[in-house]
Amino acid sequence: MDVLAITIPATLLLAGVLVALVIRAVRRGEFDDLEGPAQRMILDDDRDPERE
Amino acid sequence: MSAAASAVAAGSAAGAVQEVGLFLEGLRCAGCSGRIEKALREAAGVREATVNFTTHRARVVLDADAGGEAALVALVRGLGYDATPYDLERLDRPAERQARDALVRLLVAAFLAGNVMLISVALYLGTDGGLDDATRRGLRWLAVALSVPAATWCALPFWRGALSGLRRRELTLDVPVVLGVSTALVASVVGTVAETRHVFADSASMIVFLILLGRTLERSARARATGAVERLVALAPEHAVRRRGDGTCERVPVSELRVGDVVVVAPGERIPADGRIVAGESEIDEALVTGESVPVVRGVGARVVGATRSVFGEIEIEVRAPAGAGTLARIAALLERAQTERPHVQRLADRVSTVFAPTVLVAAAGTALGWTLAGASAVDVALTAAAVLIVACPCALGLATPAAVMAAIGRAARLGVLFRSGEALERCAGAAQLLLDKTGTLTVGRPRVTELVAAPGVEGKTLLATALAAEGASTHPVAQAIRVRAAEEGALPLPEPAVRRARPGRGVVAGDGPETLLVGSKKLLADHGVAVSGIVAERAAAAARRGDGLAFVARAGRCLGAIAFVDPLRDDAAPAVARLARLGVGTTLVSGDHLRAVLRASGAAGIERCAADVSPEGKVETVRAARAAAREGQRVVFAGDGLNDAAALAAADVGIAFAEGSDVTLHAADVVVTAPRLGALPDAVELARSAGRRIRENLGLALLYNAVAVPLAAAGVLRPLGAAIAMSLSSLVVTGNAIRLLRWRPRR
Repeated sequence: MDVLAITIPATLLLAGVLVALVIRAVRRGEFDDLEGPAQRMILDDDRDPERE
Repeated sequence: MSAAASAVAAGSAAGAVQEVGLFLEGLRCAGCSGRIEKALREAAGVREATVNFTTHRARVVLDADAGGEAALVALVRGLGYDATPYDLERLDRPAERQARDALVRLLVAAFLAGNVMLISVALYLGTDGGLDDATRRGLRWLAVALSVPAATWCALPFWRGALSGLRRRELTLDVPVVLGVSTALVASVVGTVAETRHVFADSASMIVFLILLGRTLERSARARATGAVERLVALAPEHAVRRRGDGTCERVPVSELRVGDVVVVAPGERIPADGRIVAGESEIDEALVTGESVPVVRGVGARVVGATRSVFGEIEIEVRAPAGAGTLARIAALLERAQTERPHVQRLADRVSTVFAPTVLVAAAGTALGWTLAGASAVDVALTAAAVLIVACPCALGLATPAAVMAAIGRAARLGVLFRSGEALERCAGAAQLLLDKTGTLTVGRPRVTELVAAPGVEGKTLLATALAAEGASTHPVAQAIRVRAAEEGALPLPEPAVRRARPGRGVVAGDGPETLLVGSKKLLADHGVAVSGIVAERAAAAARRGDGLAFVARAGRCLGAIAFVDPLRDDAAPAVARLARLGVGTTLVSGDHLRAVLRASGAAGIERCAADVSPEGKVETVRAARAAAREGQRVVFAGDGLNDAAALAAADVGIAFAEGSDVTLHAADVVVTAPRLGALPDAVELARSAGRRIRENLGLALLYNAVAVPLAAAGVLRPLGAAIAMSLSSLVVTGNAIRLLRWRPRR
């Protein structure tokens, strides 16, 4: 049972870091437009202007 | 946002930057947004540009000396879209902050609730799972510690809602939520200190998570619907070009315009304020105030309305009304008044909760009293009362309406129908009568060529090619109709004459000398000494009797024929009206157009009742009369487009605006239709009725659950563990029932 004293705080720490990352993503606006990027990636107009 | 903010920060080191917001019009797909974004990014002085396809808005960070909004607007227009700058601080930021804040709270609640649940499962398994007492105690404290932020910080919106409700002396749905959460939390803390058999930290955090989830889903659906509406605010131009006394021009904010100022309006620009034309002539697209899709001619002396668009010809206008007192401002005021007249419709769940919240409180108090009188121990009394509060926690009741509303609104959005609120959905279900505008609602709002009347020996293709050459790159609706037909027929444009003069209201004169091309009214041809006779005159007259518009084409002094056009009905107009009739909704056509055109449209669509030559005020009166005549629970729906219908939209129980094409959506509309189908109307009514059934079923299920579970908890049969499980199950059942709406299909 003693191992819980290490594993539980470790899990919480890890999950806490992940939550912090997701919150950062929200604040950066990554969830503002959920539609555009999904459609944009299948469109073929990402030609490199320098190669043309 | 921080991407933009960091650009601002970086900019402050290298030189000043500004951030500009643009509403974009004419976006059809994500490809459009990609193209605009790319062009904006490559523009000189632009540091950062993002186009949000969901909201049709662009955000650009650029050097302060790079030419500003005007250069960006010109760039977007060059790509074939329209752009209007807007105030980022006023429109975007507050909603954005709220949405992000809610999402963060939801995520934190999910994290906390998940962990508390995990720990609680271990605790419920208890000694069977091999827990020793010390570990058990530690886990309990941990669960309580994790549920404290969930019940306080994450639940802050509920606390605020409950408090502001109480201040208004109303028991909102937030009150039982807050009560349940705080009781569960306090009982957990007390139970942990007193080392009772169970704690219910999991209930406290789970309740918060589930209800936050429901509200976030509802909010995202609503944001989609209202985002498009805010674009209307941006329609009024912010700047005007004012002519100074010495003849030079200056760019000034519209708010600085005074009565008597003379402003210059370039072709394609919106007129900054109400006024009178003092120089020049143009065709003006007044669809905004009249709903008519064909621009009208305005010459010197004519009155023009602010925010309408001058299609071609440069004009100078003497301002007659300052920005705050013009027609647009009056329409806005009319709208506001019409909106305040609307009775406040309380949400069904709130009505239920006003009865529900006190009942739960009384039940919990009664339970505690009963068990005390029966001589139970203090711990047992607290446990049973808490079980009652938890089992009665209105999760299912709280989810019953939002889950169904959200599922229905989400489904409707995929059908091109954006409901602006759950209330709109509720009212739409009661639709008994539909008043329908013609142009842009029953019809597509864009003229289409119906017939090519060619003179003997002239091919239809030649007729189109000649007209096309004369029209050049004109954006006039008739020119666009000709262009579309020419492309269909494969008519190649003839070389364009170098000189091209628009004769507003008459047509176009292109070229000089013997080869002059004429496209326009019979009068234009007569002015140039060209006669229309024989078969062309006969067939043209027949087309005019049907209600068609006509453009005559002449070349080198000879009439080649005429092109007849009409603003066609939507493809599915007749089936949609028939479907509405089957749903028990009577349709009436109410139009500002003349009787012949109205009769023709209503006849083709199968609408039995119609009214022609109705002014915007007349439409409001018609709506009021219909509402006065309607029986209790019968709703009057008005469907229209254009600002001229705004007051009628607001006066109706449900205002439905068609935003397709013009891309102008309305404050007054409860529902915005983006699909180019009239079938969207029966869809909206039928879906709203299905949603109403689901909501009633859900409320029934939630109340049944409470009716069964609360007595069981009060009797001490259902302990807090069972109560928490029953509570979660009831939420799942209600959500599952609501989700069925996502697979809704119109009945054929």
